[in-house]
Amino acid sequence: MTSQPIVKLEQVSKVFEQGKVSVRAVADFSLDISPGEFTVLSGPSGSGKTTILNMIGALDVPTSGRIFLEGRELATLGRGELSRLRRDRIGFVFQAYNLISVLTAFENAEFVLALQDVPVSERKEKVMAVLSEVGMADLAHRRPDELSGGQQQRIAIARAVAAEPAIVLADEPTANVDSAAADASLDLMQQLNRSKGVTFLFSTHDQRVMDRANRLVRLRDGRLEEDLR
Amino acid sequence: MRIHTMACRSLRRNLRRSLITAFSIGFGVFLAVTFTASGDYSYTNMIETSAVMGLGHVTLQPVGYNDSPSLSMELAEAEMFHRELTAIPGVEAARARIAGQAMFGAGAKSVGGAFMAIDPDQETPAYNLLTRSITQGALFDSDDERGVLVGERMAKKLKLRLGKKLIITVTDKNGEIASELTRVRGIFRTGEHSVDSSLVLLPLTMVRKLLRYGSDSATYVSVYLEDHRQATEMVNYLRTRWGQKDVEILPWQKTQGELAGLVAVDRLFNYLLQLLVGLVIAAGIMNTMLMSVLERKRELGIMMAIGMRPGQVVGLVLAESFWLAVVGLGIGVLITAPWFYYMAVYGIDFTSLMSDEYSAGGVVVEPVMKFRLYRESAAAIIGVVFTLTIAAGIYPAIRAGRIPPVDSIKEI
Amino acid sequence: MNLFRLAIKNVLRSRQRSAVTVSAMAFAGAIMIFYASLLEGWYVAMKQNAIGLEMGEMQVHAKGYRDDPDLYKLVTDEKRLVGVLRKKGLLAAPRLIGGGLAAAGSNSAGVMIRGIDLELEQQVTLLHRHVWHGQWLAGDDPAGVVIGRKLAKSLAVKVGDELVLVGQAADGSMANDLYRVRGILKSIGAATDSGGLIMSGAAFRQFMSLENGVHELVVKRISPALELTPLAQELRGRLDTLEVHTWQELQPVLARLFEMSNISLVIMLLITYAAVGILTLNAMLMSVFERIPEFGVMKALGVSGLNLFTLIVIETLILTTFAVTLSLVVGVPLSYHFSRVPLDFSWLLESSTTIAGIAFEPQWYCHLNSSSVILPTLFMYLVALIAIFYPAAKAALIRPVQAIHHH
Repeated sequence: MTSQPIVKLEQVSKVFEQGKVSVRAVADFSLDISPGEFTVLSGPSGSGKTTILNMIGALDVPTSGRIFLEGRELATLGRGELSRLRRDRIGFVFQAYNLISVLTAFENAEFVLALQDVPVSERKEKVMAVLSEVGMADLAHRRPDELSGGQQQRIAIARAVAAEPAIVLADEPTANVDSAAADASLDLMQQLNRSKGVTFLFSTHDQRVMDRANRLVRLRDGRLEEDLR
Repeated sequence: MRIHTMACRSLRRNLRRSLITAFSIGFGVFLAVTFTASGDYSYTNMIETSAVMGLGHVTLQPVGYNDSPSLSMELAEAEMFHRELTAIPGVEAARARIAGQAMFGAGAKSVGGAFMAIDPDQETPAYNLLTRSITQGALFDSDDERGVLVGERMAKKLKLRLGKKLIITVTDKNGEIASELTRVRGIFRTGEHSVDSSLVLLPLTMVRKLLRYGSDSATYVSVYLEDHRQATEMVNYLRTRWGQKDVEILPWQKTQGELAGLVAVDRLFNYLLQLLVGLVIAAGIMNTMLMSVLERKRELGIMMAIGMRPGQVVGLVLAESFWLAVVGLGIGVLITAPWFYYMAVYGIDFTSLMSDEYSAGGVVVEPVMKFRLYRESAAAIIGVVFTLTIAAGIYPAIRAGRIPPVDSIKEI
Repeated sequence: MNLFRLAIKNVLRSRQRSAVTVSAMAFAGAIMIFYASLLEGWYVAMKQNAIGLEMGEMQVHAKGYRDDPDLYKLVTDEKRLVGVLRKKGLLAAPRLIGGGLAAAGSNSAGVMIRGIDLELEQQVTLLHRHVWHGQWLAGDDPAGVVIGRKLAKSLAVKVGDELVLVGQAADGSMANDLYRVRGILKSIGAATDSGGLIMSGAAFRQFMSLENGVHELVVKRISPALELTPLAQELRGRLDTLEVHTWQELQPVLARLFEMSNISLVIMLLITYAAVGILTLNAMLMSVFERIPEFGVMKALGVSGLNLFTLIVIETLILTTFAVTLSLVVGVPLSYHFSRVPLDFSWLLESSTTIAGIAFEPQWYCHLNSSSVILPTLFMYLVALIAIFYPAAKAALIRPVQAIHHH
């Protein structure tokens, strides 16, 4: 049985112009990601992994090549459609958590659902379920500045998965937390992947993350070095 | 969406600057109320004073009289209008009067001036500034056909005292000279020099005979309304009611055009000064909002990265402006209320500083600063506060909407 | 380390923030300058209309004339007197004054007739510039007279209409002559509006059969730097058959009114200052408080507290200087423009009118003077420095670690 890939990159290149120097961050890169995968993009700094994540997240556009998300080509979509796409189909877990500082843990986790105009009662149910899954139900009313790094990370994961996106993009999720917290959040994501089939795509050079991958894509100088399943 | 919750919390997070900004809005409200309310009070006062100097809020007069007044024009059915007007709702009182120019002589001296002829049975001090301002003697009564009241300055000029003779000379309806001997029954002082030095109050019945007017005629009928702001409305109503008759019905703005113009200009001056202060305050709000947007560039970018539309971000920032206006208005009400109460009830009396009368546009203005706020003025202030605050938020909001949704997933 | 260069670098580095702060302050400053010059213009116009239009700064009469004006109470050697005053730095114009009755058609009204010296009057008062309809008096038109605007209405006359003037001449005979309305004045003052009639001095002498002497001399200083009160005092001593009054003595109410207006203008000005003050305070507080973490880093790198404080002060001065310069660049030309082209409210007012007996024109000119520029400028510096004192001191005293985590 062949299911449609969630993400499909075809011959994607990205060139950054910095003054007179142009840097080729990504070169002729192609990749398919299928539902349920727990994929890690790895490589040294500057190998282009964050750029690829940005482009998949519709935050950046390729210089050439095509990117499809659930069969829709990103380049054909307008600004509003891209907003909606990010809102409904993509979850983000940022390196610096990036919770909204004026909202409580609950409200942060709820944010995307609220943007989707999901009815309040349904929202509450979903958010509480997600928060207990990430083990944060008790601290739901706290503000980000009242939470530890690891706890903020969990809220960020809750926010990313609450709206049941097609794929969660996580950039260096372990870079800013201590190793216990890192392990805990990786456990959490792995568990979400296994129990709920949430598709994850990571960028990292952390060996602990690579160890848990069921698919490891190695990059070097913006090119695919190897793709291990 | 929790736009309003987020907006309020953002304001609270930067409490100091939000409060300073809101305070500046409150300060603006305070000023706007102070200036507008003292204007509303003094305009009302001037309009009322002018009305009781003769012409009322609405005037019924012969066609063409307003442009070139002359004693040859008479309003034949004045008494009928007078009777019917008093029954109309919204009309507090109506008075039939004759007014014109005359020569006044006493002994060897004579001066030119104006007269107003009134029916002592109709007139009450409430609707007649002159009978209200009597300093010596009293108003002639209805069987006293030769009694007159003169202004203090004219009395001084002609060396008149109570009981002295005064000769009135006019040109009658047909253009012929007519004279009558009268006696001074009272002296009044309004404070307006031109009135005190040139006006004489005469009995209506005597003047009708002198001018050869009909027994129901007058120059005009002055109408006093419960609220001067209803003048135009009343004029429209009266015009439809008496459209067939040979009468011109005008609001005070037309019969006392100078005062109306002055009030309009003064109000505009007043608003212009308020607007300039308002602009300074608006610039302060814009500064605060822009700073707050610049600081939150990243946070707003994240919100857009995870799917908030630019329009929603614009809405969020505008919501902050809105709540700033609400808080500012609240502070404004708090600091203005006691002051307003004091000024509405007691006011500040400058009489001791002025010691003499102050007039504008030919109307005496009492040297008292007091407040009165028309409901529409209060609504206008609230409207302007919100408009200016939200307008000041528009540019920062648009700036916020244009922030790229974090150009990288990485920390910037 | 050169703090000044560092300050400039800091200002330029956070360009966006600096631009926002500077433009908000500059906008407020420009409005303040404009506002100050508007108020000053109001005051100047009011004073000019009250004094310069008709009354003059000083008046000279024969003894007792003011108490009981009389055709026979004359100043006789007016030519010599004008010369004497001229030597004192004063311009003077003689006037003849008498009462009469004006009639046109079936209307008549009492008038105050004034005969003026066409040349000298123009040097002292601005009457000739306040013609509403028609023209000012001319030497070759002795039968042409100029009248007040309310008088024109009560007589129902227009420019060009005839007017019969009746009065008692100096020789006791009945004066009676026909004149033509040559001009109708704008609002001059309550009395002139409703009863003023002006003709040439020669015409007056003929009408009233009065050969010599005048009733009034209106006087104006050539230079406004001249002190009026001591001068009046000196003249009083020299001219003991005459009465000398300054405008304050002639119109004490008016003098008090000006004092009060002055106070209320100062209050209005203070209000804008307060609004600008709040804005500047907030802008400066924001620009310093929110950079405390950054200052913490600098302290951690070894910048001393005093140096940091000085740095913040210099930065503030740089920002304020930008703001002040910008506000001058905008505010001064704006005020200058409106000192040439007035704000015109005449569409609201069919003619000029009077407030407190003073002519009021519905044109509002700005008046730009040094104080409407210098005071706002100094004020902005002052408020900016006061505003940053607390946060700057805090930044200077705070420990680096605290500063970095400060919000």
